[in-house]
Amino acid sequence: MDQPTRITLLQRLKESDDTRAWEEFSQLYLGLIYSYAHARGLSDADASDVAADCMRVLWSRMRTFDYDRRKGRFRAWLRRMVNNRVNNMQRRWRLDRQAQADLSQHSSSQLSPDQLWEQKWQTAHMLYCLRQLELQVSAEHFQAFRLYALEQQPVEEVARVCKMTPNQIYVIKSRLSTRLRESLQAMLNDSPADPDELEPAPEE
Amino acid sequence: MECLIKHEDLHQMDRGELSARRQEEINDHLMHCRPCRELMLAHREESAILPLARSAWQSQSEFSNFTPPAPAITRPSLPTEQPPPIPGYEIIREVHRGGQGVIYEAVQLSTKRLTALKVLAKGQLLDPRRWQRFELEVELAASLRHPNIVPIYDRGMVKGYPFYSMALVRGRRLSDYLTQQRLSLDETLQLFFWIIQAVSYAHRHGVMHRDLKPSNVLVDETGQPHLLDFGLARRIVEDSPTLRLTETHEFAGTLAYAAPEQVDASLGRVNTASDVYALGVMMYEALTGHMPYTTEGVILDVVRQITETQPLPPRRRRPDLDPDLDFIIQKALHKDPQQRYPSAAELLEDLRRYRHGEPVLARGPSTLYVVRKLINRHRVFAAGLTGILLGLAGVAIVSVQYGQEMALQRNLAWNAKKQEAEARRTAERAQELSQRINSFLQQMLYSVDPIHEGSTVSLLTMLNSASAQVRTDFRDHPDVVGQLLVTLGTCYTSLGLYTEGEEQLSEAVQVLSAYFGPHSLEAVQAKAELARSIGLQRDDERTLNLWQEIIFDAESLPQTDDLIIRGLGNIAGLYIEQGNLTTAQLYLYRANSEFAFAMSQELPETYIVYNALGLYHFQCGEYNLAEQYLLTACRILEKDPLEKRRNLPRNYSNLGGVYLMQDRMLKARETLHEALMLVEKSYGPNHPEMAPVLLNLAMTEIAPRRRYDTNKAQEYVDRAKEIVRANSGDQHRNYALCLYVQGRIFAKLKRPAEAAEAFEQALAIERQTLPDRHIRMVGTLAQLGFVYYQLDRKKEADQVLTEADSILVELAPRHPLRLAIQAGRTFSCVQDALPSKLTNRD
Repeated sequence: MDQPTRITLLQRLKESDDTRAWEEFSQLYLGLIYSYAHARGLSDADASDVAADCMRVLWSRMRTFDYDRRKGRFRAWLRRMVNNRVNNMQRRWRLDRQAQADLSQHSSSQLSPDQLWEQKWQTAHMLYCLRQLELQVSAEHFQAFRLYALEQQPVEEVARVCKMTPNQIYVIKSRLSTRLRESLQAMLNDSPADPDELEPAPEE
Repeated sequence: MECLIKHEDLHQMDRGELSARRQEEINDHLMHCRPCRELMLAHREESAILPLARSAWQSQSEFSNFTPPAPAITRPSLPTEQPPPIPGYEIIREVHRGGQGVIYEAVQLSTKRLTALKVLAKGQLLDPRRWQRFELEVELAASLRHPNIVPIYDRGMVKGYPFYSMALVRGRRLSDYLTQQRLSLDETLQLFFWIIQAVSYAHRHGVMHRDLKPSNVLVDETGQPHLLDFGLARRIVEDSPTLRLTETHEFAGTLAYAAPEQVDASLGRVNTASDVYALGVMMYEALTGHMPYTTEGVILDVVRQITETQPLPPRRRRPDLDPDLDFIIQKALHKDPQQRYPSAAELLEDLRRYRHGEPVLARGPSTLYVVRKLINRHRVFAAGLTGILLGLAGVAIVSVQYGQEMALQRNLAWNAKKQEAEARRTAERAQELSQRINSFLQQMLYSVDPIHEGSTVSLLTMLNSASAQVRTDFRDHPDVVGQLLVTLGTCYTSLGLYTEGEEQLSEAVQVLSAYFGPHSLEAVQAKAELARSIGLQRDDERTLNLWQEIIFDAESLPQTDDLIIRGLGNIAGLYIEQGNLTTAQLYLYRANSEFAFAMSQELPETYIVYNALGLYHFQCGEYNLAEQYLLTACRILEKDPLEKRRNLPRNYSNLGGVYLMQDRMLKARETLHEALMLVEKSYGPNHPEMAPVLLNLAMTEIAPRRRYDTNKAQEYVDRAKEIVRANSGDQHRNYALCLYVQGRIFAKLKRPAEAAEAFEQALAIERQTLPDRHIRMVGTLAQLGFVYYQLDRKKEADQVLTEADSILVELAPRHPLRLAIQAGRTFSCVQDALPSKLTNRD
C-alpha cells in the first residue's frame, strides 16, 4: 500500500491552526447539516441558518474536544443538536401548504429522521473522501475513475477520452476504490463517532 | 492477472454483462484456485463501496448549496427607480419596498433629524375627498404619543406621490424577530402585552389601526415593540365603509390578519374589536407556530376560511398552553365581533389577570372556576406564610444554624413558587396538583411547629419525613416527585448533609430523566444541582464528568447558556484544583470568548467563571489580576442573596489569600476575619470550610517584615488541625496544608529541624493525595528546600527545589516563587547565607 503516514483530519485540527483542516471540517459538517435540514423540509435559507448555528457550537466544541471524555457520544449529540434546531425551526414556521408539499415530497423516500441522518452522515463522509482522493491522485487518474466508476460510462468511451487502455482503467478503478474504502473506514472510525477505538475509554 | 479471470470479466460482472457460460467457467475455476478466490473477494469488497460513492457524487450539490447566512442587519437594496425629490427631505437610502409604497431613510432638513419617509404609490389619493381623509388620518396618528407607537411627523404630496414621515426605528419585523429570537412563552406574552398596551392606548384616543400584522410591528434591540402605520387608522366614530377586496391590492396581503367583518361587510361594523381580532391571530401564530386557518390560495376561499372556519383551539396545537390563555385567544378570535373583547383594553386586562393568576373574564362566571382560581391564589400566600412559620420554629431548634435555615426557607418558598408556576403551566391537573403540593408542604411544615411537637424537632427530622413521603404522595406525578426531590436534595446539601443530598438529587435526575427524557432541560437542570452537591463533597472526578455531561446536553437545548457557563466555570475550577492549569485556561478562554456578553454584564451565572479566573491567576502568582477577578466575583454575589450566602465566605477566604500574597496584611486580616465570621455563621464553627481561612489567618501572623505573633498563628493552626482531623482525618490533603503552615511557624521560630519534619509530612500526604506535579506541592517543596539549606542538607535541598521549579516552569512560568527558588539556590551555592530571610520571600 502506498499510503503515507495518515494524519487524520481530527489530529490536524487539534494539533495546529491548520486552516485547510478547519475548512475541510467546516465543509464536511456544514454540508451534512445543511443537506439534512433541507431534506427535513426546511427552506434553503432556514437550513443554512441551522447549519451555521450548529457550526458555531461545533467549532467551539472542537477546540476542547480532546478534553471531553464524553465525545463517544459525539455522533448522537450532533444529531440531537441538529434535530432540536430543525424542529424548532419547523415549529416557528407554520407549515403552510407549500412547505407541506415540500415535506411530503422529501419524505417520499419513507426515511425516518434517524435513517435520513444516517444516510446523510455516510454520504457526507463519502463525499469528503472523494474530494480528498481527487486532491491526492493525478488528475488523469481521477478523471478515469470518475468517468468509469462514478458516472459509469462505457469503458471504451472512457478509454478514448482518457487515452488509456481498458485494462489501465480497470486497474485504476480497482486501486482507487480500495483507497476510497480505506479512507472512508478510517474517517468513520476517526470521526468523533467512535473515539474509544482510538484510545481506551476512561475508567469510571 | 495470470489466472483465468481477467479484468474484462470483472468489468462485465460489475455491469451485469457477463455471459452465463463465462460465469460458469469462472465458478468452476474458483473452486480450485485460491489466488483467484482472493481476487474475487477483494474485488467484491472494493466494488461494494462504489454505490455509496456514486450516490454521494451525484448528490454533491445537495451538500454544497449552503448559503452563508446574511449579516444580521440586512443591507438595503438599491432603489430600482429614482425616488422623487421630496422638498424638505434629503433621501439617504431606500429601506423597504412594499405593495403600498416605498420607505426611505431620510433627513428632515429643517430639524436635521433622521426620519423614515414613506412614499405611497403614485396617484392613489388624487381624489380630493380621499386626500382630505388621508390628511386627517395622519393628523390623528400624529396626535398619538406612546413609547410603543412610532410617531408621525409630517405629510405631503409631491408630483402625485403622497408621502408621510415618521420616526426612524431600527429593528426587526415581529415575524422575523419571533423566528430568530426563540422567545419563551413568558417572553412572547410580555412582548404582546406591550403591543396590546399600545393598541389599547390608541383605542382610548379614538384611533384604531385596522391593519395590525406582524410586519407592522418592529422590535428594536432592547426587545421593545414599535407599532407602525397607524397612518391607515381611521376615526372610530367615523362610519367608514369596509374595504372592498377589489379596491386595494395591498389588502390581499393583509387578509391573513383581517377580521371577518373586514372581509365581509354584512357581518358587522369594523371597529376596535377588529383590531382585537388581528391581535388574536398574531398571538395564535406566535404561540402555536400556526395560523388559525389556511390563508393561502384563492381570495374567495380565504374569505370563507376567515368568516366560517372555527380555528383549532390553540391548546390543541400546543398542549402546554394554560387553558386560560387558550380561552383568551379564542375569545379574541370570535367570529362575531359582539362576542369578542370590545377593544384592546379588555384584552389587556384579561392578559394581566392571567399573568397574575386571577380568574380571567374570558372564562365567564363559572363558580367552580372562580373559586378554584381564588384558592389557587391564596395558596401562594399560604406558602409564604408557612415560610415564616418555619423561620419562627427554627428559633427553637438548637442543632441548626440560622444561615442554614435561611437557605432552607428560601428553597421552600422558591419551591412553592416554582411548583405553583409549574402547576399552572401544566394545564388541567394544575388545581388539584397544587392543592396536593401545598398540603404536602403544610404537613411537612406542621411537623416542626413547636406547639405540636415541642421544640426538639429539627429541620432534619422534617426533611427526612418529607423525603419519605414525597414518593408515595405523588406516585402518579413523577415530574412533581422529581422537582420536589431536587428541592429536598438541595436542602440537605445546604445543611452539609452531602450523602443524603446526593441520594435525593440522583433520584431526582433518574425520575426526571424517565419522565422528560434523559437529555431534557428538566433532567439537565437537576443534574446541575447534583453536580453542585457532589462538587461540595470534593469528588472531583465525578463532578468533572457530570459537568461535562451537562454542558454536552445543554448545548443541544435552547436557552441554556447559564448552565453552560456554570459548567465551564466549574470544570475550570476543578482543573485548577487538580493543578492542570493549561486545561483550565482552555475552559476559561471558552467561557470568556463565547459568552462575552454574559461576562461583560456580570450575569449571576458568571460568578463561578470569575471565581475560577481569580483562582487561576492566583495559582499563576499573578495576584493583581487574581484580586481583580475575585472582586468581580464578589460584586456578582452581592446581587443574589442565596448565592451570596452559599459562596461569599469562600470568596472572602480566597480574596484574603490574595491579599496575603500581595503583602497587604491589614487588608488580608480584615477580609479573612470577615470570611471566618461568615463561615461560622453559615456552616458552624467546625465545618471543613473553616480550616483554609484559619490557616490563611495564621499566615498573616507570621508575615515577613511585620510584627509577628507566632503564638496566635499556632492557635489558628491548632484549631484548623482539629477541624480537618475531625472531618477528614489526618491523611487528607487539607491536613497537609495545616502541616505546611505548621512548618512555616517552626521556620519562623528558627527551629528548622521541626520545620523540615512538618514539611516532609505535608509533602508525603500531598504526594499521596494530589495528582503528580500538582501546583500545590510547589510551596511545600520550596519551603522544604529552604529549611534543608538551613540544616546544611544541600543535596536534598537542590533536589526538591529543582522539582518545585520544574513544576512552575511547566504550569506558571511567571510565578514569583521562582525568583525565590532561584535566589535560594544561588545563595546557598555561593555561601550559606541567611536562608531564613529567603523563606519569607514567597
